[in-house]
Amino acid sequence: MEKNDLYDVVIVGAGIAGALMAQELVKAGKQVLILEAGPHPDDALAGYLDNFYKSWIKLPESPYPPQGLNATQTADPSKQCAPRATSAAIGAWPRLNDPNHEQQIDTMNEQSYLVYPYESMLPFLSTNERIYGGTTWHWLGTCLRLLPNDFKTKTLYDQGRDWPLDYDTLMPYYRVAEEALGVAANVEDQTYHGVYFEPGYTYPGNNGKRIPPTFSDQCLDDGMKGLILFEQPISMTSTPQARKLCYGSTSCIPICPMGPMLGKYNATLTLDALGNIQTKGKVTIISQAVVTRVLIDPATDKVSGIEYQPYDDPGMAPTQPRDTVHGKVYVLAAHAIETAKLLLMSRTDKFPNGVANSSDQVGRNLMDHVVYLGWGLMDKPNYPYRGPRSTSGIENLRDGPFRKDWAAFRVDVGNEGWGWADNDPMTLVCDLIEGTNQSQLNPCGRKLFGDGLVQELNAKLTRQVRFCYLVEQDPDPENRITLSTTYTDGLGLPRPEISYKLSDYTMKGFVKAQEVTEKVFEKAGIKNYTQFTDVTGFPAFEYHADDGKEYKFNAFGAGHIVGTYRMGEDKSDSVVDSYQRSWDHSNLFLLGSGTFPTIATGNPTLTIAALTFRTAEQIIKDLG
Amino acid sequence: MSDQAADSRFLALSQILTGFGQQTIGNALKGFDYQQVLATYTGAESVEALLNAYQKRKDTGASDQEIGYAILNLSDSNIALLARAMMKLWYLGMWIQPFDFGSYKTGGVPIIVDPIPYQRSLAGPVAQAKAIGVPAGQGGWDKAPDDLKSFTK
Repeated sequence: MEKNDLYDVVIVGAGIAGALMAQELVKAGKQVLILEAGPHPDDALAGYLDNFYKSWIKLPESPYPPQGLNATQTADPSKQCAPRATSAAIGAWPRLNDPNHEQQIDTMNEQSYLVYPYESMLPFLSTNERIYGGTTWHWLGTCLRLLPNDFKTKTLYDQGRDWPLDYDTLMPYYRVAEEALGVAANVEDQTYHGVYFEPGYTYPGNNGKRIPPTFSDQCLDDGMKGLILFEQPISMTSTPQARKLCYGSTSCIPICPMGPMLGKYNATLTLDALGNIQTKGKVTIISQAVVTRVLIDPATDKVSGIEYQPYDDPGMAPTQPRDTVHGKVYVLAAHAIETAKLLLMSRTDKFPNGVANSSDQVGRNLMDHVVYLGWGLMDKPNYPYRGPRSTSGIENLRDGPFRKDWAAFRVDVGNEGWGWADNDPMTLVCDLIEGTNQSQLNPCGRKLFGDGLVQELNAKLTRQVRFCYLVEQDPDPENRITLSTTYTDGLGLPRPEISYKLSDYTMKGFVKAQEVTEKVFEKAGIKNYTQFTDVTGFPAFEYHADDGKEYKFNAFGAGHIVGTYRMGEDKSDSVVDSYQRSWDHSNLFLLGSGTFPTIATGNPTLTIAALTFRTAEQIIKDLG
Repeated sequence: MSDQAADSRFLALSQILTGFGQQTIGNALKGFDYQQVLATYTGAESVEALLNAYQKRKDTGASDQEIGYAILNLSDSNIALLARAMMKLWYLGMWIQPFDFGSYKTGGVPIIVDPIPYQRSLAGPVAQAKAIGVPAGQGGWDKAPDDLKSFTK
């Protein structure tokens, strides 16, 4: 491995933000180093696919290291050099009002990379990957633009926070981002809630055409025609997607078996192409390099170096010493958990709250699109389990005057039947063979075989519908990442300790999501099978509404980890400016959804990419 | 009993229990030894008992429906449990331990012993699709699939 004494830019993290930043810098002739905490195996797709096929439950992290899930346990985070949060670890989360709550939290903390104090009532529900290519390995490929009103909810609705930039400012960068990711959509479908495009614009992917909505989407769209809720007509809208033609495996999360060349984009496509860019610039990538500290020159307050720990075996203590690399500019693009953790770990006497943290906002305002799941059986076959995992959504309730009172949401309409909702087809198959009724679809306890089994499975599996409501979560400074004083990883680094809860505003959004489910299902001829599950491993919360009604909900994560080093207009209450430059250290930039002041109503990746392109322009200007 | 005869019993019983035809089951058996999975986790004697239970009824002229019902309702041995585990192996590509055998105990998580039985698992075709994660071919999901018989033959 060749290393320079001084790079133009040192980037931490080989996910989508780091990859796109490196691409722009190399095109501009810059010398770039990327440090990636996770591995970069040869023929990664084949290995990850093998893990996926062998995993009995197909969780987002199942294919990826450390340890693909083929058991009830994940790799012990205290022994791993680059552990990450897993859905499987949430399997120990205590049930509501569990008399053994503290004991369960202890169990959770032993197996979970993210750890929790005893008073926690809800875990953080989403996960990310620490591998070459980052979390784009397990993303859905959804590339929605945020709405113009998403950038100014404080002004319009007295909720959340205004962003320090608006849709107009970001629009040209959305265009560049869509080009880079090969987003397929049509402009007509995406022109709603004030979203607009340059005249004559066409999306770059799939020859300017949308990815076709599935047969299931078409059935649902027909079924809900004429429905109006909260003064908004309700309909299905095709979803912009970063993919080429789909080969229909319905497994975008956790993995597209076609890989990024033929299927869904992931950041390895950009990274692998960097060596082919014909410029004088060059990128060096060091994987299995966990950054341990951002070093600050106390005389200038600029970042002076990045210290990292190389390792050979992810489950063994490293044998090599820590190393330090230097650049003119530094970019942290390690996702909202790791970047915040790294800044907090890098505290010094001069910066006792950590690097870039004079505002005390690093680690705070952790957000996700908290998910309400609704599922049911249609009155006719809609034939799920085919196509991309989602091709359409209900976008009508992403904005409206109601945002003064309750959290907005979009509805991701699934094509994977009850795979997420009920671990189908496994649950139903076992029910009909064993005579059990976990699925609610075998109330008489039939034990079937032969053609009877075929017919009953077909009758149920071909009519399954799943709605995923991505409910907006408002920023709360007490929802935060701090450094555990008890739990460490395999390098002896502190694990992230999470404090996390939902506001009344978000919980009211859940009540509305339930209401929408009931009304849409009724209109579309779908029998509602959504049920609340109160067992260990199913995080849940109670909500006592103002009208006296009481609710219990399960909550899930959307994989959208947002807000832990937010951007703003004032250095006293934000970490970076609108160019994602640290207020405190002029040669430090922070990328990723950690800079989002609010989570808004769209999946974050396209906005991460657009902001990255805008920041890249600024860095190139800085470097001259 | 020759290996060939054992294979034919396994093939026939698999068809009876799953409801899938010879083409699907026969093709799935090429290149992966499902029967060996049963033997590994429950012993060759248990597998032989299951196949003998099938053959015994077959020899009496019982119909497929009668054979399947009888085997799945045998209460004096582990045969019915093994038959159900075999059905789950076919439908899900997973091995779910039906009874204790040596170090293999019930109550553990399912095991996918190899990608092949998952990729060929019948839960996909019974939904007129492929198993989740198995490419189905370019496009086509915007229309209704072929009829069920074309998936179960």
